[in-house]
Amino acid sequence: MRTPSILLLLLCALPLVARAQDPVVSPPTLETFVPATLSEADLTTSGAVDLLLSIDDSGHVTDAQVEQGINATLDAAAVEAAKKFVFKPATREGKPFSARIRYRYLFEPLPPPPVVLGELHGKLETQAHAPLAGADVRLESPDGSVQATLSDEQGRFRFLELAEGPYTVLVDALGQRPMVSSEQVTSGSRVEVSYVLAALAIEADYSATARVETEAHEVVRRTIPREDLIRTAGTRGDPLRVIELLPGVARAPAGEGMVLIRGSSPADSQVFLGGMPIYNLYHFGGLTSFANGFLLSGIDLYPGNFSARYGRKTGGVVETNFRDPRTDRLHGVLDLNMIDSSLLVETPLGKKAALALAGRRSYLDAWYGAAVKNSGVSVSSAPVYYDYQAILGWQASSKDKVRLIGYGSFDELALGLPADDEHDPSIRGKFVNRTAYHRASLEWHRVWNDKLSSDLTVASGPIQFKGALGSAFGFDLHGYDFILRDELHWQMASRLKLNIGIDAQIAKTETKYFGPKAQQAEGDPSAAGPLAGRESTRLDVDSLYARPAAYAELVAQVTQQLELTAGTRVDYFSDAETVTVDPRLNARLTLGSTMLRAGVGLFSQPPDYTQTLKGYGSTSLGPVRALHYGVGVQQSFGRHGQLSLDGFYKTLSNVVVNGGGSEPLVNRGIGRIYGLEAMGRLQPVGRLSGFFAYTLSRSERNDKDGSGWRLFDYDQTHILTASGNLRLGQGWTLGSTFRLGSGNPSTPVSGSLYQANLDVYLPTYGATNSTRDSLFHRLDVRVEKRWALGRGALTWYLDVQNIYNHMGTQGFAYNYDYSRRKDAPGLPILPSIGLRGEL
Amino acid sequence: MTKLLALSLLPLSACVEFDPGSLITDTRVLGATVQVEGDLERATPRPGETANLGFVIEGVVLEPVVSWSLAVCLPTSTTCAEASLTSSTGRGSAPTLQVRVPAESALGDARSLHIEGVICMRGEPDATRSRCVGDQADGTPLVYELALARRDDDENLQPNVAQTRFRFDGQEWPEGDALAQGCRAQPELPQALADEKEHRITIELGPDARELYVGPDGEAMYEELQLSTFVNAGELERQFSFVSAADERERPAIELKWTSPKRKRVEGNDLGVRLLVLVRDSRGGLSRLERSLCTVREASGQLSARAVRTLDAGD
Repeated sequence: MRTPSILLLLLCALPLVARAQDPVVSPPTLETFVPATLSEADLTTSGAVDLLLSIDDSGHVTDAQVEQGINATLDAAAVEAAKKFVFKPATREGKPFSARIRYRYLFEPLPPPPVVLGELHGKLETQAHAPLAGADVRLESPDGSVQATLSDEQGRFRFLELAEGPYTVLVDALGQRPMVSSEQVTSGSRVEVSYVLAALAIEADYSATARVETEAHEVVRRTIPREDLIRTAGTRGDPLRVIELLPGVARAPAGEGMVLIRGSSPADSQVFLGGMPIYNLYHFGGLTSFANGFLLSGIDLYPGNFSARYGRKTGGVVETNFRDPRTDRLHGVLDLNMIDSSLLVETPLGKKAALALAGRRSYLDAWYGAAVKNSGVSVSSAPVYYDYQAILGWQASSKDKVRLIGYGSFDELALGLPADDEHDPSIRGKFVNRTAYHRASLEWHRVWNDKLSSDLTVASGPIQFKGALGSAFGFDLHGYDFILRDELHWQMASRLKLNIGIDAQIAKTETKYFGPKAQQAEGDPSAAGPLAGRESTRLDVDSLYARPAAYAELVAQVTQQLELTAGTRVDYFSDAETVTVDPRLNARLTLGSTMLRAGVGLFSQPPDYTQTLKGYGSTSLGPVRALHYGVGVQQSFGRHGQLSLDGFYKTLSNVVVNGGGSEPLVNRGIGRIYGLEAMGRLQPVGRLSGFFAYTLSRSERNDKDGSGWRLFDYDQTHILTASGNLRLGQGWTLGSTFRLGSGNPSTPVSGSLYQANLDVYLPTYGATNSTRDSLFHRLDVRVEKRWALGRGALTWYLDVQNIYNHMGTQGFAYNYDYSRRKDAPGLPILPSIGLRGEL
Repeated sequence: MTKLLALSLLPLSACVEFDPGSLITDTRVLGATVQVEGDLERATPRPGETANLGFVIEGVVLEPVVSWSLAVCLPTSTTCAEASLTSSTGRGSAPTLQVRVPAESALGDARSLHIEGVICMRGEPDATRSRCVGDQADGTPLVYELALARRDDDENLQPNVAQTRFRFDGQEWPEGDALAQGCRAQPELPQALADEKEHRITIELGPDARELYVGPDGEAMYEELQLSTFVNAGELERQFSFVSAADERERPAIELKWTSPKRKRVEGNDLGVRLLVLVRDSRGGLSRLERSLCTVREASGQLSARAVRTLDAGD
């Protein structure tokens, strides 16, 4: 604490001034000093408060007036303290009498105590600049060991006796977005840090170029801390693969990179990067995700009842974002593994800006040719993918932050296939698969005043999706998209906040296509059957789609325990020529360490761009609608444990199904999805951390074709995941992930029809999704060794997926006329080894 | 798209082994031929003409006996069962159906006739013509679209395979039938050791194998030929081969590998192997070609000079 100095500036006012001819007068002298009571926020302010004190003949202060102050808080504190002072009263000829004096109360900070080893002192605040108490703060040392503490009532924390080196600070607080920061500690010095944590889905705002996003108030938000993103076994260090382990997320079939959230089709959910939709989450059907994991700030999964900020989807939402480039010094990460290599470099540019550059390229092309050498396949363009990210962050002023971001992803494979598919002779000749998109975006965050802030994002870039399969099928869709998102956050009153925004997407595309007409693949196994013999169509069209939307969300803290969030989103879909209005309501009730939550909302999803193309799909298609209900409870157990249980029910209407008449697609289907999700998290206790997740659900569709209710293609009744990491010391970490889940539904082939013109057998199917693949279970193990090297580190890791090689089944394989079948195996054991250097 | 992704991961996919479709192990339907009465080279009847539709049946025995029930209807009919123009039920080694094409006025916009039914290898067709019934019933439900010549441009002749040349391991491969006549009676046929080694088969079509016709874009183009290849022993590299419309060679040729069978597959001293080739022109025409060879358990001095050369080439 501080020790205020006391100075008596003027001992006597005019009436009290001693004159040579006057009797002997002694001024009051202070006998008992009382320090002012200050909040932590005021401790850093220095200055003086000039007071006029009235002191009675017993020496007590009867009145205190401020003549010149600092601010209202400090002035009041000085007056309050002064009134408790006790003086030796003024005397005249030895007799006490009442007097008035001027008194200067000085505020000045205490000098920091000396330190021998390094120390890290920090302070946590919410965005409203309130102290953040009770936050779990972990400090990871260069040798991999971890210390943990809780922030105090003033949001402060400290770690003492630290050896010199780079440290990682991780903060996790209930209701706040987890954050991570790198700090350098040197011997004999004290490092002071201050972090502002964003509430709920708000990104950490702790560096010079941090950003603040709209608060989210969803019923369920699953957050993956950055540390877990790159260390979870079975993900090869790929952050976005961790999503698949969370409750409500089903396992995607091997080789099909997709996110299956709460019984919804992959196309019904969306991954956003800073509010911008991402076209392809993974390279080559799930090999690895599109962005460098070290650049991502964290990942939030909203499996349902998501904010009005998000739209055009009826399933779930995954939100991630690039973190800000670090501003302290040059940083770099080089990652080498069996599939690709990546490099990330970050550097400050002056005091207010920083730049991060990252790139990755695969080397599948080095061995792919040899792998297919004896298969009759000729390789025109060996498989290759690359991606890149560039982020320039600039704190333009104390109220303005700007980020300029560029990123892109490219996948390509071109083959010459022999006609060796007995089921489909049309699969021959040229095979091409190319996916490419590049995007530049500008983000501007502005704090207008203490109640008003805004976020503007503008993005645009070229896109191309190209595929071909001999003479039977081909497409080339290319063009540009333009995306605008502008959000305004207004703290209307202490307990009332309004978020409003616009969210517009425009795409201009050219599409060339030849092949079968549009077909809804979900629920129709023939969509994946032979192309031979199908009626073909040919297209060459230019399209311009506009999908503007506006939304508003009112967050009311009704009581200290109850928060209500009411939102509405209005969308226009030019391709469907439809306006939709989606009201949503979420509530949270916090009772001590227990949180109850509930939500209900309407969600709309336009048809896929291609489904409304004239000559291919159906121009009369409208949006799919969904109604989400959710209710849940979350219980915290101190700072180390958390359990949650959430139930959900969703109804779908206007689901796109095959028309069977002149319109290939119609909005005729309905659906229902319901289930329970449980999750438990164990924050680091000693050297152990981990989580488990269990989902019990059922997802059904009714195509309204007379066949009644059926299972959804990827319905998985039980999904159990347990994942943990154990720090063994000396930089060693052992992690494992176990997954157990119901097999995917499968539609058996009941027979076949010989098409004598083409010499092919066309399968005929039994009841849709009437069988299941075998029970899925898999154990993944990850071993990591980290060496601290000065300011950097070197990490070696081995990540083995399916370590006991349980391949299971993934549908059936059939002979040429479908009279015999065998189980089709899933993926075998898949080891991956890598080396990562960090600076 | 799923198919594209699966193909992207071609080397990673696991293999599940069955007998290949090109290996004939039981009685099967391999195709359908159409012959217009009065013009046997033509595969597309005109309105009012009569055509004979025959199905190609092959099996491990010569001329296997099957039973069938087939019906013809307009493609606009919802079901052939209720609106068939004609039908055929019978038993024998060659399922046939005589089709009298309706007059122009009765055809409407139809460019083809729809044939559906079932051919039973065991048992008898049921009343719905969709399956076979009886003890150990087994059959093939099938469909065929009989292309009609509504315009002169639609007329299509059978693929002309008369000038086709076959080579086995680079050596000319003469006609013969090792199955019907036996290997010893035909020493001029190629011989191969039953040692599971690969041999190269070349099928070189004649200059007139393909017709020029007016395509959908109004431009003259060559037919695309689909060659379906079958053997009764050993293993062909693939069942389907194609001569694309863009192939401008005067004598387009395809090559494929054949792996001789294991020794235990050869009963006695030799095994006759028949190569059956069905050439489709994608417009309704179908022609048939055959060659045969002998597979022997061991090389011996009894082999003809020609066979020795073949074996050398195969090695």
